[in-house]
Amino acid sequence: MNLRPARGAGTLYLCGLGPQPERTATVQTLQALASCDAVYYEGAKDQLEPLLHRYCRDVRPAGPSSSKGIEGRVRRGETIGLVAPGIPLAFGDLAAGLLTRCRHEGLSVHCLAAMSHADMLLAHTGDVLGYELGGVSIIDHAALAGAADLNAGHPLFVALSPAGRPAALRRDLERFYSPEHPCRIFSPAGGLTGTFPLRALADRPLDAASALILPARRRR
Amino acid sequence: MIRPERGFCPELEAAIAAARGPAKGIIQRALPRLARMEYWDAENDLREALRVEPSSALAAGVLGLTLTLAGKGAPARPWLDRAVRRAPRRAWPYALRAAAFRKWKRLEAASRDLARAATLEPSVALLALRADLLLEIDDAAGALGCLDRALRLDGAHTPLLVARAGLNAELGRWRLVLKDLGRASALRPNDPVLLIRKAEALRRLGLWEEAEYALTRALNLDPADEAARRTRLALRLRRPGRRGAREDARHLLAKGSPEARAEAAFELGYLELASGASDKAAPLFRNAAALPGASAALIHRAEFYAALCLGLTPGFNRPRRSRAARAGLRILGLGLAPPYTVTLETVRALSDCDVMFDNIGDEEVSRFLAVFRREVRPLRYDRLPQPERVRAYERELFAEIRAGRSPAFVTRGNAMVFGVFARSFIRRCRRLGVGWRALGAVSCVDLLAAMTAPDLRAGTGGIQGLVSTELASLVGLDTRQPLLVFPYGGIPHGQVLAVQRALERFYPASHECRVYGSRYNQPPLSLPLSELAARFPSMDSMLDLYVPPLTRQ
Repeated sequence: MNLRPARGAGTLYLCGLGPQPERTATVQTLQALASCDAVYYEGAKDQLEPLLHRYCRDVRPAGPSSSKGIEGRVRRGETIGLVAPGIPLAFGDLAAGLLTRCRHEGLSVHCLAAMSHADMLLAHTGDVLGYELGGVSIIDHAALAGAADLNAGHPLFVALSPAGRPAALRRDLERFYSPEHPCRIFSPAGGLTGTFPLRALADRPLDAASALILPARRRR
Repeated sequence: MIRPERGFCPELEAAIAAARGPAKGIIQRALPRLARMEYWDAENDLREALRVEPSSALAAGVLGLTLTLAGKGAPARPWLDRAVRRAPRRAWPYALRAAAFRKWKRLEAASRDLARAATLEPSVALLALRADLLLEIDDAAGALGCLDRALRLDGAHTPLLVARAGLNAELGRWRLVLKDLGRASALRPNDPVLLIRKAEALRRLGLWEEAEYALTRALNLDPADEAARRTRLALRLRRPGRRGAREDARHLLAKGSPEARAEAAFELGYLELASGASDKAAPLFRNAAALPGASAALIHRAEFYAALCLGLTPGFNRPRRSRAARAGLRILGLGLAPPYTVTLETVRALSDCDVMFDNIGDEEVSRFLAVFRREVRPLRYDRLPQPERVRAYERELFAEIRAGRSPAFVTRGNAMVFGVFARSFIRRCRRLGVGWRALGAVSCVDLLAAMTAPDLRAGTGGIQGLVSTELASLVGLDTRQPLLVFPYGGIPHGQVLAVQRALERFYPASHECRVYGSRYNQPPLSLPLSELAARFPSMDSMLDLYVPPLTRQ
């Protein structure tokens, strides 16, 4: 993949930096950011700015109001990066809106692959997806709340959001799992917690950088 | 292309010289006109020759060739056939007709005629022509056979020696390549191109000193020979210590073509990086990317290394002091597009091991790994069946661990997604109580998620990945999330239908899905789910099936 944008044509890079950006960012993503006129980020300033400043001088936090500014700069021919911890698929509203509008305007948009929580967890536990697990579903809380059905026969990863509401999450999960279903929390920094029943989820502090892990519902 | 040195068909020339009939003079008048592409004049001459000597096979054959070259295929064929009928025991009519068949792209027929010609009158020219033709129809073994026969007739034929060396090089037979190039080089000791090719063969055989000597000889013959200097630079960069590489790079930077200068600037950056000076290397890479001769590929590579340098601290590749703290096995994936998708923590882990087992075997990855100045053991067991390959790697890896060293198993993608090796190594580590550490990496799931995200109207909020064998027992599925199906180990012939039927329980038959191949460097094939089994009776492990979300298409 050639990351260099064509001269004069605006480009938007949507990049994930993985669960722990200073460790899990790929060099390919950082290479793309180094070609940007400005990089906007969603996430913790103290976590992201020191890393991003090494690759781009113009680094700014992104908010809901950044959308028009980013789009305008891309339209004027600038190369802009929008980054967040995690993977590009789990776009927030800002990225999803920008993606739609830029494509509608015929502007160039590239999504770069990033490592996910699931990749990190597999490495942490030593389980191999194709053998021990057979598959996996990765979902965020909003999508879970709207899901009519779920593959509970394989492990489920729920990506936790900054505005995580444990009681609501528990309620949404109990549509598919019993209150006694075992859960664990995986934090990229702290690893895996011990097992606890789903009904006890509300008592657990949920960190935005973590994921909730539910093993398969029935014994495989 | 294999070309004999002494004319298209010496047998034809000899036949014309030996001819006695009244047409001989007219044919001889036509030949220079034919060579000057004055086809109309040549045709008139040859028709005149046939009027004065209607039975002349030579006039008929050369007229057929003339008409062929003039683009008149249909009228040419009867004259060529007549030449063959009139002189069936001579090689030249078959050679002329073969030339016409080749022009008409009837390569098999051309090959048959040339085979017949070479049987009747074996000659270097005919065998070389046939070898060239066989290469065009991808019959390398046949071409090699022809060259062997031609070289038995004339063992000092340099172009054929070089051609045979080229074919053997494609087959990886470097000893035979060296033998032919050695003979060719002895016949033409001052040919720098031969010396460069010989150096490549010597390098492939691990004869580094001799390879460098051959290139230095080429440079002594012509110090301005850019190809020889670039090859020597590439060779010196691969040698332990990289002695003399900097001088060659500087020479090319000062005196080379724009392309060579950009490449040399990149290599100077690489040399700084390999010496541990990542801070000094970054501007050199940026400079290489900005030079006017830099190709798109070089710019991409240089910008990657510039970004890599910013993630490293100077001295990153120095040997570590404390071994005890880092003993154990590392399992490191470089992501699905190595080395570009390597993560920063994997880069650090590469700095922290003693020996790397490179399971990727790609030239670009090998160069990337070499900057860490650790022992890199290349892919050795790729020809073994998988169980033996795993055992062979295990033997080597655990021998290193027993010796108190920390080996790293380096592979493509994420070793933990479908890693046969990772699974086996971790089990053994656990059994033996040996420390291990695996790091996550960009996997096929991540890459497909990024590739397909722009097609979705918004974020889906998730993704599902399943091994194809799991589909049959699936009870529930969130069809609003994209689904990736991995035919891990491949789906045998006839069993794709079961996968299709399992998916049709959740998706309508008309639901469009995509099959991605060769790890996604090619565009996917889109097809309705109902056609999956018909289009793919079996699926190999390099294919992945992507099922887009049902309500968001």
